[in-house]
Amino acid sequence: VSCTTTLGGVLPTQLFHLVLGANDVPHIRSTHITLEAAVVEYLTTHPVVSCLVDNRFFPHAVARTNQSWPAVTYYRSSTDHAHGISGGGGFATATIALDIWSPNYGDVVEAAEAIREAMDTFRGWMGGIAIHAAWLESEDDSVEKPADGGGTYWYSRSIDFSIRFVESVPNF
Amino acid sequence: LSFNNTIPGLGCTVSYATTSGGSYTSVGQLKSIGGLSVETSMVESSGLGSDAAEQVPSLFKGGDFPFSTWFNPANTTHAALVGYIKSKTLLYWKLTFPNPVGPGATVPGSAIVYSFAGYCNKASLSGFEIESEVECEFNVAITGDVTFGS
Repeated sequence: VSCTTTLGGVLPTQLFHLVLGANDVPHIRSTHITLEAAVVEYLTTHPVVSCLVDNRFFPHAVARTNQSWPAVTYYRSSTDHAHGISGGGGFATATIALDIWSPNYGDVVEAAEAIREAMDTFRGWMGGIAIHAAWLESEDDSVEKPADGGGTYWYSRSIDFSIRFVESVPNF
Repeated sequence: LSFNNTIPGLGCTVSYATTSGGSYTSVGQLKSIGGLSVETSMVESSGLGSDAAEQVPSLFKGGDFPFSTWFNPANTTHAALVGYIKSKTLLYWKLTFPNPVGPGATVPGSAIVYSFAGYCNKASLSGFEIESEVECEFNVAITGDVTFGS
């Protein structure tokens, strides 16, 4: 869908304690960019993560056929938007769940560790969105046994990150 | 049953000036207002002829006026307020109410404002954790009268 109008939200005038680079301008590149897209952009351009996962990031689910591994599925499980007494607080904290999948457990662990090192305690710019802080909340492994008693075992590691990020303030 | 003249907390502002009637500056990144608690002290006036305890009003007291901010030491209003604590500067404050919203709501011609003088006497910083935002609760110790009105 191509939108010809843009959203009316405005960025907060204060960016709290986020330390920006000298050439950074406090803006969101587009009011249409989502945190999910920003995370994927950041990880697919991260030298280690991209080497292991390439661009195999999928929202919610990934087909198990015709696919190289490991692959990562992602979704947002919660968002807490900050509100001040004058309106939107200009930042929110979201939980982004990343599930790393592969028939090879070693691939899962290696990719998960690369993502942890890329994301945990990150602050700065991520895919055009200013990040106050990102921190690892949890990691959980699981395995799915073949339903037919043979075939391939599927391994996964679910890692949840809380990410506090700058968002536009609705402008009425 | 509806409460069309309910005042929403959203839209309240807190501002201050260094001179009475001067140029007021709104406190930035205001998160919440703790409240305004005015009272008139009461004095025991029971006498030997009293059948029950009696008391009479004494001095009016503005009390404290706390409010919380997402703190930024580089924010000009936050930095100024912290400085006023140390300099013990008397400030002039305004609490401005937003207009009521709803069908039949009576909107005043101009915003309702409570005004008073007071010292910003406390700044409590908190939230120095990765999962938190740095916040500051300022407190204003009101001195003298509070004007309820515009």
